[in-house]
Amino acid sequence: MQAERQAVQMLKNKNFAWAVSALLILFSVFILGGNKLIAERNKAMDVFINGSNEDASSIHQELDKLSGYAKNLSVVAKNVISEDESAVNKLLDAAEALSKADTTKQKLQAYKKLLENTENVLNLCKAKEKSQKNADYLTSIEANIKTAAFKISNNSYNNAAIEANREMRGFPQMVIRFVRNIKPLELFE
Amino acid sequence: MIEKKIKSVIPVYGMGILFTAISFAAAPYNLFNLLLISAISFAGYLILNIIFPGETVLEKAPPAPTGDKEIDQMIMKGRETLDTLENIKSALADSKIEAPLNSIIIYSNKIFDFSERNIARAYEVKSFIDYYLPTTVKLAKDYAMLKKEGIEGENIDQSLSKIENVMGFLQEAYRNKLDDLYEDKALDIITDVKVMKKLLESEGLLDSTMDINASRKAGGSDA
Repeated sequence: MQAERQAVQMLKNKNFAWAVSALLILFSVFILGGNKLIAERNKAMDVFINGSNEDASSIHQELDKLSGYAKNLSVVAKNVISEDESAVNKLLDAAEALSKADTTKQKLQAYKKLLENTENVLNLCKAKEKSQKNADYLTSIEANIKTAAFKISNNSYNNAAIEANREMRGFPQMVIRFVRNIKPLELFE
Repeated sequence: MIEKKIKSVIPVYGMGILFTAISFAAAPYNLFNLLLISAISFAGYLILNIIFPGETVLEKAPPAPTGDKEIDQMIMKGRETLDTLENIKSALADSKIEAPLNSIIIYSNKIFDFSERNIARAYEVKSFIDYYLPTTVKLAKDYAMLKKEGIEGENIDQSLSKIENVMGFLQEAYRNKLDDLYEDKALDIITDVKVMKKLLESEGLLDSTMDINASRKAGGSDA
């Protein structure tokens, strides 16, 4: 009974009422507002992982394919340029690094490195290849790699990321991002 | 007593709840949404202020300064202690010390009122303010604390019983203190009555055998 009376007294206290109201407002801004920003960010990230209606496939899917093409290329390259194993090993390392990359920035770096190594191995193979069968393989792999790179460069992820980053700029977004530790999206370019 | 308007807290809660409710539909993640939700919530606050305007309560007027700073401070300190006692009393409704505490508060208020009107005698209540009243508050607090425990035990029961007894004595002591303060007044009244009786007798308006101190009977000589 006494506890009930004390609770009522506390609820009637003006300072307590303002404190509750302030907490509700802070909750709304930082939790609900923060969740909205996270949702915007996740929407753009979803384009990276699964692609959008505008894209035939996503960057993530194309990177997976690229990793596979690089491994196929290394198999052919081992036969063609058996004396230059280091170039093939570098290609395999780059493919492995791409598979293991976590962040967009890491993926972008690994992707660039892979393209560089792929080009190097392809050039070495083209210079040495005598067999028509291997030449066909190499042409096919090169075409697949170029297609994947083209799809990546034309993917709508960057536009989605720019849009999401724009939503996260200004006030109160900056404060909400600071409190909720929401990082802006890295572009894949 | 002065009238004091106490605003209702409902509009304050209402504003916070409204802000949160709208935020579920349109999160305040950008400036436009934040300003819009703030404006709607503030409008809600104003409307609720009209619907729930609060209440007007009568409050004790602050004591008028006596002109002696030290006495003012002393009485203010005493009244603050008394406020604490009133708060404790409100938490001890239906207890055995509620009635004595009630009397103590009434007597104390009268003692303070007297001191404010008679600053020459205000220092007579210094020990009352500095010791008796704070000790009474301490005992009442202890009583409330033991009661709150809600446990029966020899020591607790004994302590409660002792405080109940002493509160009865304190009530009497406070009444005596108040009575003491009016001792001079009583003497003045007796003197005035005696002088007036002598005058009335000397002018033949009163029989010298009449006892002016005795209660007048119904339907007496002046009827």
